[in-house]
Amino acid sequence: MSQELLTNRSKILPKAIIFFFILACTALQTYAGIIKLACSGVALPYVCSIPEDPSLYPFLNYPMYRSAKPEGVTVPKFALIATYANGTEKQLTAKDFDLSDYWFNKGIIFSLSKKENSKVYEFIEAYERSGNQPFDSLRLDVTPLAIERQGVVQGKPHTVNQIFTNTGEAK
Amino acid sequence: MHLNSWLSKGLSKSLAFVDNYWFYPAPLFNLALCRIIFVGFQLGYLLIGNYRTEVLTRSEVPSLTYAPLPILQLLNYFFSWDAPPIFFLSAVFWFSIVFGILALIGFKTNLSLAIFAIGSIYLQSYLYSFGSFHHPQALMLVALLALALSPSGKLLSVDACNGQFFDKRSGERSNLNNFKQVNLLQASSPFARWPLLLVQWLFGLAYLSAALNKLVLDGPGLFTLDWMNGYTLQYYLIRDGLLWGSNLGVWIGQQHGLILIFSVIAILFEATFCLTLFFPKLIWLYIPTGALFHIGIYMAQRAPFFQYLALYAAFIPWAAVIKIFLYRLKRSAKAA
Repeated sequence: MSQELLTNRSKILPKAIIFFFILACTALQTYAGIIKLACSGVALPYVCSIPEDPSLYPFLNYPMYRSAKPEGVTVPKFALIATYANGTEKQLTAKDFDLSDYWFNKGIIFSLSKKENSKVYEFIEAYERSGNQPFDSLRLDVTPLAIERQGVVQGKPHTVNQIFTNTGEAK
Repeated sequence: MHLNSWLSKGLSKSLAFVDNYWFYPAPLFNLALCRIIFVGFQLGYLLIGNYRTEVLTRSEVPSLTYAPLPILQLLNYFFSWDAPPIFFLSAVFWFSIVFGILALIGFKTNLSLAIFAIGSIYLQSYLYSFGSFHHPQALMLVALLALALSPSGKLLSVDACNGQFFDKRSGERSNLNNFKQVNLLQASSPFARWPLLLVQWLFGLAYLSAALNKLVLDGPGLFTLDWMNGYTLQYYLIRDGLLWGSNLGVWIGQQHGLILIFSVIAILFEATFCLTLFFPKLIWLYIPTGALFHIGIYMAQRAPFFQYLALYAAFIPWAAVIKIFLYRLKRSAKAA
């Protein structure tokens, strides 16, 4: 034990407690962010039975933007189009639903693209409750943008999903 | 006998290393300044924008189901409810704000910081108990907890003023003529280094995790460099630019050559950031790069890692920088 440590016994206990805290934090972060990753390539069944993020919050894995994309990968450009009773159409945005961009994309755009219509109906109900002009149908159009070496190539737009609000489509 | 002495020597050396590394006396000024920066940032994060409304209305957002995170279950251990009621969330929010302000000015600093940190963890983990979560806040929450266990209120605080102006035993105000001025930049403590060092380690581990996630293969094999092909970052820039309304992201995402360079820089930065732990002088390269990196990510992809900009303060040797600045100022004044 270092001389300083021995001569200053009053500081040993706080140092031990703090060192335990340091060890716990660094170990949890290593476990959540690095060891878990090793499990994906190597078979370590006992170590790999780690609960999914964010179970160890605030200690997390950091996999943002992790998957590599090849040349020619397409980015979907979404447009949410409402059709009203008089036949007019309007592109709706997060502001129309009084939502943040995050909840608009997660709750409506992504749900529609995954055909999880029941989730979208809940947002439509909230939209109508707020006194907005009700629409007959809501459709999600996608324009694929292919990323090529020579630049971004715009594809043909197509409708990926459409839901109706007054025809009694199963919710 | 030999084994015993070998073990005892090894243990002694390890303990001495731990003591010298984590508990080497360091300037209290650095720690106190970081307290002000971290707490000030977190207070701003809670107060600016609609954080409180988000907390209070999260349970009303359609299609979300409440599944409390383990840390929230732990914090709710003594309460009988499954989901905390609105009045309690509101109370936690306002308690956090009040104790945050006290921590900022350094009044009963450790207690204030502890309540502020736990309150912030409670609110954030509640928000993330509805099926989606984000990364920027996590390191800040651990940093606040670490500060709560440190002597960060020994300087630049009301506590420090009380210690200087009042005689605790008599409870009387000292004669100001006898007041011994504390040299802010000289005061040090063996407990002033570890919280900032811990933040640095957590940064190193988090960036390493981000780099490995991009480089480690999912299936058989170990590593791949595919992430740096340019198309990957172009994809994310254009996708996020379109989703979150950043024209810069969409434009820059179409510059293949430039993005190729950015991809390599991003991976190099994340994979080697931990070198700053062993070669502290590298902070003068990595911290400005990191700041530009996160500002750029925000402008192009709207990913708000502002907490990291505040937490970078843990890397800066503030006392030494100010001393050098003052010395140069004095020298140039003399020369003039």
